Amino acid sequence: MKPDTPQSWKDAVVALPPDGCDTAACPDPDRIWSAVRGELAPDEFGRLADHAAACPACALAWQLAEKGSTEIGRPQIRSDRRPWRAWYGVAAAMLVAAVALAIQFRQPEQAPVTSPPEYRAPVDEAVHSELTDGAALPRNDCTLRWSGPAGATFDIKVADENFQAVYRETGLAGSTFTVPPEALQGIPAGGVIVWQVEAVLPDGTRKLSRTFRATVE
Amino acid sequence: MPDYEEIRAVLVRAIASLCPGWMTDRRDDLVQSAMMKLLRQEEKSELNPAPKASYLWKVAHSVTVDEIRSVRRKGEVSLDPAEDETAVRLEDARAGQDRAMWELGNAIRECFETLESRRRRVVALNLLGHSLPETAEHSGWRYDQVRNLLYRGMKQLRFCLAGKGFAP
Repeated sequence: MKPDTPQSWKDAVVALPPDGCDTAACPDPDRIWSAVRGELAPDEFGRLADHAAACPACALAWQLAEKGSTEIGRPQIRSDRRPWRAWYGVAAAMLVAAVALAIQFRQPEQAPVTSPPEYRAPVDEAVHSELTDGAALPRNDCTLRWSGPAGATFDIKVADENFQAVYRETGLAGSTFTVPPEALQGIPAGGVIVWQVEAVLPDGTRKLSRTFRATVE
Repeated sequence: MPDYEEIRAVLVRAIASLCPGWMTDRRDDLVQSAMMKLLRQEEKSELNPAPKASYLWKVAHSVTVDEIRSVRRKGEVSLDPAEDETAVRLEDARAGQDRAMWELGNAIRECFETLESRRRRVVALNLLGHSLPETAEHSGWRYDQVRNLLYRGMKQLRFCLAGKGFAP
């Protein structure tokens, strides 16, 4: 279903009041840009979207960010969460549950788990961190390094220790990335960030790394 | 050392694209403001030596929005009378069209108030140019859920606007 939205409505929501706007409570334009680029956690994204729905000046700022984002290439959507995919997910979950039950009945006693906890099960070993896990990095030069398949470009995602997105960058040709200091404003000194790299191979296939950990000084 | 000519070229292109038509006379000033912002970052060693185009566009967007807010701030009185006269002439030229658009925008915002919060958000994002898959991804909601919210929200918005005398 593609909604038939009149262009005049799109123009009208960004029309500024003739007698001026009160912008004292408006968010920083950088946050609006980050919201449009999908760099914010859902909660903050929602707050900014709700504000733009009620504030013509921020609606205009949002629409301009959409325009700019289109011109430089919109970030790739990881999953479009279409319903048939959800059903595949349910089917897969049921299958896993059935297998788990079968194993449970065949092996009544299981050895305790002794391996160290991981943020995510290793998915692919094609991309490796070149930093030691938990390495302390200076805030003004928070450079993440990795190695991956030759000829690949890389997408990187950085989050805080609660897995709230801090920064995302796509289409990196090199295998280092310096996280902008302003993206780390919410991370306290000694705070932990987690990061993950996805290699995009020339044939379009993707290889996701483990989730790595670093400390921001 | 950043290549300032290259940076300036990107900023000129970005500002030209982002700057609303009624602010075209301020484009050079905006490019300058963006350059100054980057220079201040470099002084504090916060600027990547080779900033990506996406970052430069973000800076261009930021200075443009700051300028829009400054120009259209409520109750702002210019120190330069000539600037005021220009503004009045511009206002006269487009007053009718702008007022009609503003009234429609206001009606849409009033109708938003009658929508359930998630429907309101999805409809507003649609009007602002955010695609359905992006809205789903960035809100952490399912795609089919968002599609449904938009369908129902738009239906309700049409009904509400029709009640106020605005037909699409």
